[in-house]
Amino acid sequence: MTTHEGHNPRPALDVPESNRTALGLYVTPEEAYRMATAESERVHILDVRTFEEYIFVGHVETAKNIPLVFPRYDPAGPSMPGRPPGCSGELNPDFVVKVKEAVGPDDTILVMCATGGRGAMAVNMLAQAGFTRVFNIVNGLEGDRVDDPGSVYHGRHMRNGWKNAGLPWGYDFHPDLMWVTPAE
Amino acid sequence: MIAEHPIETIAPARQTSLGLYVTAKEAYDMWQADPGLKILDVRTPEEFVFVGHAPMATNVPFALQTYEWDPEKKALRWELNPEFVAAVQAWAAPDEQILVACRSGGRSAMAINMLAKAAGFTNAWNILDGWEGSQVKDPESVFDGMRMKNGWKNSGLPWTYEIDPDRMTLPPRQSRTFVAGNEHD
Repeated sequence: MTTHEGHNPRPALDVPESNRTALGLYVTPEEAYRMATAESERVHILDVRTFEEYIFVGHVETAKNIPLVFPRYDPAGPSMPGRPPGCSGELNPDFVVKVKEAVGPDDTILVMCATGGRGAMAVNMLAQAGFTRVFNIVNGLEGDRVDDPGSVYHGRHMRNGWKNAGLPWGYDFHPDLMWVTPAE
Repeated sequence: MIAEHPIETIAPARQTSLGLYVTAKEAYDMWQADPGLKILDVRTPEEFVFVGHAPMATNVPFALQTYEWDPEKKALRWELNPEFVAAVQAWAAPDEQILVACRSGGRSAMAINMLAKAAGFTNAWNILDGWEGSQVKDPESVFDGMRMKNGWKNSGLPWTYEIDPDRMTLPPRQSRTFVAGNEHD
């Protein structure tokens, strides 16, 4: 089921299976941008991608980065499908705790990842922890890949999502919003 | 095939002790003429995987990104890959022509200087504009601050997200500690 809370009624979103959540709350990137801009104190964009994606691929400059998963590489360790030997991911054990520290219990959270899949996992974890107003930003920051072998952009993340909607993003560092530790 | 790249046109951070420079477009033309030519990508494994990479490039990270924030420099601390030189030595001979790239030409210059000094590499060329290129510096542009100025991707050259494990040389790394994240203040 797709529900939507907003001022501008529009047809139900076509939410990909991988993006669906237990809460059934979804927004497009454009809607997320409008909601977060209109009420920045109580509406938070939460970027659950890895720290490395946040800094190298770029990010929404007002988003808080709390990674859901950390990349790992250990030559003797496990591998994920499609990754080199030893490359895997490890769930952030502090994910929910850190979100609770960053966000009020009645605030609205707009969750973003690269294409909406990890975002859905994150929404479900937050729902289990008692959050109720957690929307998944459908298609995420980068959006899906073009699926047209005849296109020079075949395989690139140029189909939908935040960046392709022409919404603002950047590479600047905002330590208060980043998953960082103090330098030794 | 390779244009003149006078030293005064090259930012100091991109200059190398070997003085050998190409653009991304030139690098690709050279590779097309000789597909055995070795192209080295010295970015982090995360950039290689998440930002994408040239399909013919081999990844040996020169430095790794830490999660440590230096409030004075307003920057994240890097740490050198202790196995960088050895891994490149295992991949190419010191007198072999190699083309080296990073995000936008700075790290690759440092990598070449290290290869020249520590391992006697003589024929390592810096790809000046790198894979992603420089940031647009035009406040009036909707692309201000974005890497859409030059570089491999912006030159319309082939790149991919697909991983060929034989083209990645991962550094040894102990499990990092993340629990202190966001506790800097």
